[in-house]
Amino acid sequence: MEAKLFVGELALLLNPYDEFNVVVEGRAVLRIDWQRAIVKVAGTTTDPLGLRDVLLEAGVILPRNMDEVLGRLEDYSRSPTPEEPRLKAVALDTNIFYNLFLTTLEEERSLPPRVYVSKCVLDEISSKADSKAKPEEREAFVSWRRAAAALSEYLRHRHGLRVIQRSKCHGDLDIVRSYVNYAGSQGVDFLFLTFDVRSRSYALIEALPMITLSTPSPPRAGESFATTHRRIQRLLYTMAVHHASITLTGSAGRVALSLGEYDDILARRLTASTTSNRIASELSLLGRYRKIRETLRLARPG
Amino acid sequence: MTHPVTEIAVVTPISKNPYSVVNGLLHVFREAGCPGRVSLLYMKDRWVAATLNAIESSFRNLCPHTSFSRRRLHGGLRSDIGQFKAEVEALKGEGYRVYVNITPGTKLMTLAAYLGAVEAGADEIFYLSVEDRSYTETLLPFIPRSLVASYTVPGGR
Repeated sequence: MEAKLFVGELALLLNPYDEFNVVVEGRAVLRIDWQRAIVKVAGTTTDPLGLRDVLLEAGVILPRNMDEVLGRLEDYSRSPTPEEPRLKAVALDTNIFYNLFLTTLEEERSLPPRVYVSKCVLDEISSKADSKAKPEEREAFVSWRRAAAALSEYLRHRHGLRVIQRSKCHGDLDIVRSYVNYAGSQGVDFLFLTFDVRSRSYALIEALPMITLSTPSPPRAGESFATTHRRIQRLLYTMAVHHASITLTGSAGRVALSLGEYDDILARRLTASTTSNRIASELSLLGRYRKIRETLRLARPG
Repeated sequence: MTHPVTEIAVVTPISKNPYSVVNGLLHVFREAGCPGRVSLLYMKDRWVAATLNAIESSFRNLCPHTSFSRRRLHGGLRSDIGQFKAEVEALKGEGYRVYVNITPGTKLMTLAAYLGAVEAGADEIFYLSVEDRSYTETLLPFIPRSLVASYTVPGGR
């Protein structure tokens, strides 16, 4: 039995489990308690930095200075006052999209009311996402999938973002300069948000106020993280973005989740394949549940 | 694949959010299969017609042979209790095993549905609680299982 599920539909597949392992290339990497929404790092991991990245992108672990970041973002969410008449806004670096951080931010609090993104950022992401790599070119393939996921992150939030046009775009310095120039010409005070120390240096040089998100430490074997069910669903997506396919094993059976097609990455849609009768029986009703949901959505009373 | 209907009937008040009604029907479907009859009891309001249509047409995607009926509540606790009681009794008289969902609706409707169900000897009275309010407009199968509690309320047979 095979079916494509959006990230927000994965509970259908996961509800038959109490706990399951996430297996990558034959090795159990994570143990997930689905009922209590706890993620545990299994055994020894050969790639702690990669694991740190997927956990961060899923929002299971957060930047070390998250409280400080939220506080600064609140400052830059305020409307102008007679005392502080200049408009305050947030400006995004490319890595904010790669780390799927807008989704995390939205779940933690809400997006600031004025968020800007330089066209240089979007060009950088879309040029990598459009240069489709072959599966056998492993590093390039991972990089392509991550760019497609970053583009998906932009598309999810595009209605809340304002794009700054810029003709010259050659790297991180031009991203910073696009914000500096816009701030100067439009009278906006920007807070530049980045994970990258090099961009941080450029912002310092160009006197652009910024905050660097502090990447958390790589997880240790056996370490547990209490999280939410939504983030566990996101985690399966981010793991599939990094590894192309993962396997879930547990008492309800085995399910392979894969993510290879460009449109599926953009839509955050995974292909699930299983021989488990229990899970197959749930998946067989997916189409009908979708029709119910669609009918309710269309008929939503005003 | 079409699911055959069972000798189960569901009586439910209606709220503006159709998910609490449809999720109640899905709860019954997952426990016992497609109900043969569903009775929707509602108070007059401008959104009611659209909500009733949405509930019926959406659930028919899963259970096309389920038969729906609509009953307008006249208002007033005593009268509403009587109407719920009469609805349950009528369905039991037709040989159905009757489930009453007391999740949707105003508190007064819930109270009327509960007391009417108890007086008529409904077979099961249930309440679905979703812990996380961000899932209130999510279909039951897409809500993590541990966030949903179904309470079988005392008073059913």
